[in-house]
Amino acid sequence: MSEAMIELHRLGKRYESAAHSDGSWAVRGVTLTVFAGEVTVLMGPSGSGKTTLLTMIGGLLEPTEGFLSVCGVTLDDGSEPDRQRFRREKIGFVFQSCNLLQALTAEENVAVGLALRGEDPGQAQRLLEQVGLGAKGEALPEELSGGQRQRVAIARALAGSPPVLLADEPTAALDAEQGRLVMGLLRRRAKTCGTAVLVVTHDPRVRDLSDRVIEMEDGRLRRIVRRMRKPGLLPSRRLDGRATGSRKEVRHVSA
Amino acid sequence: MLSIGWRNMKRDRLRMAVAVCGVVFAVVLVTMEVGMLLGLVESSSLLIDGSRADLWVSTVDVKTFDFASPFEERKKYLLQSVPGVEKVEEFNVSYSVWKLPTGGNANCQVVGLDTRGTLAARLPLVAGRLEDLRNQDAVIIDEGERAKLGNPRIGDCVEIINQKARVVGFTRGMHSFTTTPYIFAELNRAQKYGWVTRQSKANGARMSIYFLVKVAPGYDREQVRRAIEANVPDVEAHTREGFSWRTRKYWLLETGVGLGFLAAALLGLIVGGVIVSQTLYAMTVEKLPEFGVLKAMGASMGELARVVLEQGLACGAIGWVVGLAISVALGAAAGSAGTAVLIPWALVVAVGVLTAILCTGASLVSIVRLRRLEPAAVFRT
Ligand SMILES: Nc1ncnc2c1ncn2[C@@H]1O[C@H](COP(=O)(O)OP(=O)(O)O)[C@@H](O)[C@H]1O
Ligand SMILES: [Mg+2]
Repeated sequence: MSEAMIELHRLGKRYESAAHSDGSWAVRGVTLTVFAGEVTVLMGPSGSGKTTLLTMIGGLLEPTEGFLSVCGVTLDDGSEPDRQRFRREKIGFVFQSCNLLQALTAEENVAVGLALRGEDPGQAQRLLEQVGLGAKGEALPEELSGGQRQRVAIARALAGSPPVLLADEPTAALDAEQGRLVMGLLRRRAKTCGTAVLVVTHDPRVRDLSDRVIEMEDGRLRRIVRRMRKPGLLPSRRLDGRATGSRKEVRHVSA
Repeated sequence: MLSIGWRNMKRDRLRMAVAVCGVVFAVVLVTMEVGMLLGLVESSSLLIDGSRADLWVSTVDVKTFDFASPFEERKKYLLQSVPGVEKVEEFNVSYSVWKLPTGGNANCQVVGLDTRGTLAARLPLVAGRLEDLRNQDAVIIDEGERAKLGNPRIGDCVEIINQKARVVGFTRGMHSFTTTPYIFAELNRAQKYGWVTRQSKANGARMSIYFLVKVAPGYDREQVRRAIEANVPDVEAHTREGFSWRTRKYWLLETGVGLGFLAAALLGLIVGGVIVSQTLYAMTVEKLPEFGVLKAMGASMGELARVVLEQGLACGAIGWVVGLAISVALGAAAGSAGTAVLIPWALVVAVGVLTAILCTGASLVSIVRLRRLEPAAVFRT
């Protein structure tokens, strides 16, 4: 089995806000391991804690309790500069609204990602080619379609080849075609570079491109569906576990 | 990192224009106020700096060139007997009143000089000759002050405290700090045109305001200065530079004039600073999601601050250049209208440093906001 990139043990987060003063937890008791080269999809109703979980893994939010290790780094008593360095070196983020810098061209946006990671900004064009936007380097974000923008954001996240890619609803604003394209890019990255990819999504179509689907509810993991593919088969479009080319193994997680 | 700040500014022309206007406002106000002050201060000692005298002799405790009291003219003979004194010339300054053609009066300062002497400042004449002052009732005024004196032309007859006078020439750029026009006249005529000299003459003895002294070759200026003070009672002797500085210092520090100018300059800085900082802040708030992304990607506070600073300094640099260009043009216009505005290189550099400080300060509000920015917020859109 490949290397464990993300390890969570009984991880919990409780926001210090009035809405949650009753003691309810945004995330609670999450135990999970994500391996290198694996694409994991996190699903669940709105408010179930997916984003909270993702931001904790990404070193943007401190857990209230539990154990968290990403690429062997535990940020238990990490200072902000430590977290910053951790994010810079280990994590590639893709957001729902892709948040490209509006004043910069596609290529410059990618170059910023490269520069932040201490890489040669000259590689930006090559990264854009990898996401199929080799001809759009000079375009400003406002001149690109939603799907194209999201692909630029992915190229930026791939800059410097971070070992972990975290994406929060990256396809929510895209049509089916673009959604699959974006998901395909993330998957290809996982398979070619051994990147651990964790994708939050509502989009059932995206499921097919994953190795594992995790369902969350009320801050807890409900169900983990491991999909095992036969090598060489194209991902199935079928949503159920009986789809051609894949078997599934469902494990129910006790609350 | 790439110059994100500069690109942000370039893409937001309207904001950039507003911020640049803020800087221009501050730069123009500071440059003009200080330049005008420098011009005034320089003019306050114009007649001292231009003189070829080594020493200026006055009554004791003279505060400034313009306000000196008279002393007996015969002290000249005592002065001449001090060892090291080669030459002594009389030089008078006295307030007076010039009658306007409308019937009103204008204050003026009558400067009496020895037209055969060599120690007083050379007058920068644009009409007439210095020798013309030897003619009956002749006076010379500055062309820039003509309007204040009822626009007299060459040959016009005027009246200075009931004495007849005739304009025989014009100087250029001879303005006093007090903005009272100078009236140049031959010593004897100045005696009767000047208020102070005329009053004191009424008491019998002829009175003088200043004596200009040339030190003989081989003598030390400072030693002669001390010797004069030791040998001539109730006078003070100043080196030319010392008297010039005393006069400038008086106007600058002992009156509120310097403070007034600096207060106006400071006001410009504050108003400009607020405009720049508000504009930068509005821009930062608008771009918070972008800054959040950078922060999430692991950009340090220093790198974020650099983006904001770059925006501020870009506006600062443009505003500085534009502001200086405007100031130089305004200064030239003011100069031809008779108000000297000095913009030396040191002022240009100082205003540049001030602009950089202003824009850095204006960026601070934004930087403080970015410090508080939660990078986790980028996921909540
Ligand atoms: N910054 C916050 N402060 C207080 N409560 C929050 C904050 N962010 C999220 N929550 C709450 O935590 C719960 C989980 O939110 P979230 O992680 O965004 O869920 P999801 O991404 O699955 O929709 C929700 O009830 C939400 O209201
Ligand atoms: Mg969410």
